[in-house]
Amino acid sequence: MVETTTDEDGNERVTTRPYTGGIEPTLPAEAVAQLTPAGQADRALKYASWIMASIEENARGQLTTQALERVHARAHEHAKREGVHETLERILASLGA
Amino acid sequence: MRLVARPTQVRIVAAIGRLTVDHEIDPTTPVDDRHATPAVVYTGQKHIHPDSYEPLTTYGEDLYLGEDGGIYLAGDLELHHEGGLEEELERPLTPPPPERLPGGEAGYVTRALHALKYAEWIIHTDHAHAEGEIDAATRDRVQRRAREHAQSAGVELLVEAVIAATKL
Repeated sequence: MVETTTDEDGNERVTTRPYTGGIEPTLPAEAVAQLTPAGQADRALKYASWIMASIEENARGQLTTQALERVHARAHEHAKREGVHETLERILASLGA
Repeated sequence: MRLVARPTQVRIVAAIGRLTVDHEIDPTTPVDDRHATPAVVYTGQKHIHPDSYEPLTTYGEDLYLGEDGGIYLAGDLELHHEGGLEEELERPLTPPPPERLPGGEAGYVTRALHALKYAEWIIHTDHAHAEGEIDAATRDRVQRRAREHAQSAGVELLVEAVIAATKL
């Protein structure tokens, strides 16, 4: 996250720091509330795909371990927010992940 | 393979014409100069448009831009061979089933990703049909293809396990 501040003399100072404001929802809350069972399964599959794809990219050296962990954490957070975390865990278990 | 009525073709040709313009493809340039091995060619009365260099797909099915600006599954497109308005496509528009994936630990993640993809085709089309986004015939077509591809790749059991995991 980049933060720009300007002092009294008009000099700009740019500070870069990790973003700690939580995740950006990928689905509006009202849409989450209206998800059908198939829609919920679909969302869980999406996050399972994030996790598995990031594992593959990490194994190929295309993604750092730090990024891998970030992706996984975000996928789980999104799944929890959308109420599909249990489904996500079951999918991952079915894949042996 | 005729998949739509002739009147629909006119609408599709118009959409392809727009795609040709949007992507700055010169319709007078021989197809072979643009793409070494054009996989599928859409032909119309004025334009020849090779299948996308990297086709946009969903559920493994090509998409096309409709006259109304919407994007639709191309499963109902009428397609022809290059240069032949009357010559019909000899092979399906959709990509062939994948090769059997390698077994063992090394191919585990690849197999899992394929299984997720085919499970997603099946579950997503259920969802899309429930939402009225696609009709039952499209859903059935996509789901049939998903299972065929899964079997070809050797991940059919994984796909069924994933689907079962979503229904507990």
